[in-house]
Amino acid sequence: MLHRIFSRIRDWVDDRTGLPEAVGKMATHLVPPDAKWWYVFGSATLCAFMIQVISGIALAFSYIPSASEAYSTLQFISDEAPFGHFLRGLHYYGASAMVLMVGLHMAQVFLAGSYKFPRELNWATGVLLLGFTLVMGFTGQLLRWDQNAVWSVVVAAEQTGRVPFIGKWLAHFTLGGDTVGGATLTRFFVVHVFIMPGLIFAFVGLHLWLVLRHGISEPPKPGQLVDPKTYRQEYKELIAKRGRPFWPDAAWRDAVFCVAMIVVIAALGLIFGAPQLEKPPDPSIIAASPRPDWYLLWYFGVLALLPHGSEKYFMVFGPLLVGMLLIALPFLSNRGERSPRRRPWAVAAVLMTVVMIATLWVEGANSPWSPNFNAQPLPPSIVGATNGPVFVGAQLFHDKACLNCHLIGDDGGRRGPDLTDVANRLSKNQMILRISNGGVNMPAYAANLTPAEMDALVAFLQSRRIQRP
Amino acid sequence: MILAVPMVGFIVAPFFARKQEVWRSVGKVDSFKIGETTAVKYEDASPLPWAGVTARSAAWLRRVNADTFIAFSINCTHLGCPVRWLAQANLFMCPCHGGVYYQDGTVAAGPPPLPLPHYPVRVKDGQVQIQTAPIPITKK
Repeated sequence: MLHRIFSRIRDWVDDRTGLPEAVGKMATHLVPPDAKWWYVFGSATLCAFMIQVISGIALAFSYIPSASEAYSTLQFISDEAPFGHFLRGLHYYGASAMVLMVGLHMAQVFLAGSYKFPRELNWATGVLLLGFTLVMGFTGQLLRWDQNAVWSVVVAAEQTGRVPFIGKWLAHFTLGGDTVGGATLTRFFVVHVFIMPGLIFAFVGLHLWLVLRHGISEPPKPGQLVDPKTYRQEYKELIAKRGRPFWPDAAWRDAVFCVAMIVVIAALGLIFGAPQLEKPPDPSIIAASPRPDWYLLWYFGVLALLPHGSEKYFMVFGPLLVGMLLIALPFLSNRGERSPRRRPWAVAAVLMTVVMIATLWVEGANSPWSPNFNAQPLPPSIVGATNGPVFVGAQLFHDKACLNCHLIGDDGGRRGPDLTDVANRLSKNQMILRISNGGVNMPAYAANLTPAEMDALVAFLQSRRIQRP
Repeated sequence: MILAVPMVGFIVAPFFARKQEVWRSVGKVDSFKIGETTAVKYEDASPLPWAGVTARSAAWLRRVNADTFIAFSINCTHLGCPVRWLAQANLFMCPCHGGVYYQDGTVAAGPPPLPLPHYPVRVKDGQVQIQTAPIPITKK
């Protein structure tokens, strides 16, 4: 009896909406038989996005996007709301997973040459989705409306301000006025919660439509070239002969990977939680050291390491050029070899990108270019004197902020050279010359030290000698 | 047109409105020692009612002599991070990418392309006043 009622209802819905039939067709469309674990990263990105949508909606129940109140609602979510800390962690690690999966998906598609004919627009929409994801990451960090967020907005405004002609207007638009203030947060809220998710939904739809239209690319075989004249026919024959239904033959891997990813994200959220809130978003608290979240830390490194004077061109044209090159890729080369075994330059490009980002990331995490503002006066055990010029020199080394940028043993900063054994390398006169005149990354101290102070400082540095056998 | 003009106008109009800058008192003249550089806080020109603490701004104020003051922007000209004054070293240092400025605000080291901007400052009725200003955006 019940069974009959259910089947009548199902038939009625089938008939009136046509949805089950359409969804069924999509779910069981035929895919190449060898598309296995390498093919899970795209669906994993979508899976991470869904986590973001769900956890984001949940967070929005308590978050107030107001310049004066967002911080206290975040404190409430983190410290008082049931599961609030976990939810913030879920949203943070979900974002991390999404960035990571987009990267892996892109690398896999690039290495397998899947962007070639007829899937040029699959790639181009994917590049746009990568851009949207990064915008989501950056704006999301800003919604964590603490001191770090406020200064990140200022840094963003300074970068947009470098754009020729309309820079000032763009910077104004970024800040939502002349300064950080009441209008700043809401614009990033709108971008993060309405505009970007809307665009992501639309482009994910388009991206998936294109995947269905052209089919999932078959794993490449060396020597099997893509020829736009014959490719479609070959693909059709392959699918007709050996194709498997996406559901369940291929989809189970996506599901397993997605579930595993959710478990990892939830575990990270549970164990580590979300990033701690920093000081309140008060732009008049000067003691701040703004840093981007990990997925943009490498770019923070880029901005520090660029040759001085080239920043203006890089900040404006660098990201633009990379974006344009990525989108242009399948239009520059849409035929020929797909296998990474026959495309050593493609493999090299991916490896170089990974090594470059990893190196810059490590540099960004250590940020040796940032002065160490917490450097404490050197202890007597290191100085080796409790009075006299060496002792006075060591005090000056701290007071004149030399220690902020130079290491003595394990103490100090890493901006300039390690001076633990500087007397092994430089003579007294060379030291005086360098201290007086400074260098590219060192201030000139000539006007900042009395002759007696200079003598003491050099006496201290001359005592920095390591006897080597 | 009926929909587009009001909607786009609503979004972009605030950015064309010119704000009237105002003078803000940051302390009595006598509260600043000659030769010292201190951080002063003041409120922006016309903060929105819900701006909260984000309506605050800061500047580095130095009393040069009995009646001369200089106010430096706290924003590094490289990427806008808040520079710190190191009194004993007579230097401003930036925590982000290691920009350093001499005590007169000129670049001493690192990536900043321009000196630290100055803000207008005056003495009125025994009070030191700083004129509010937009965050300096480096064009260079």
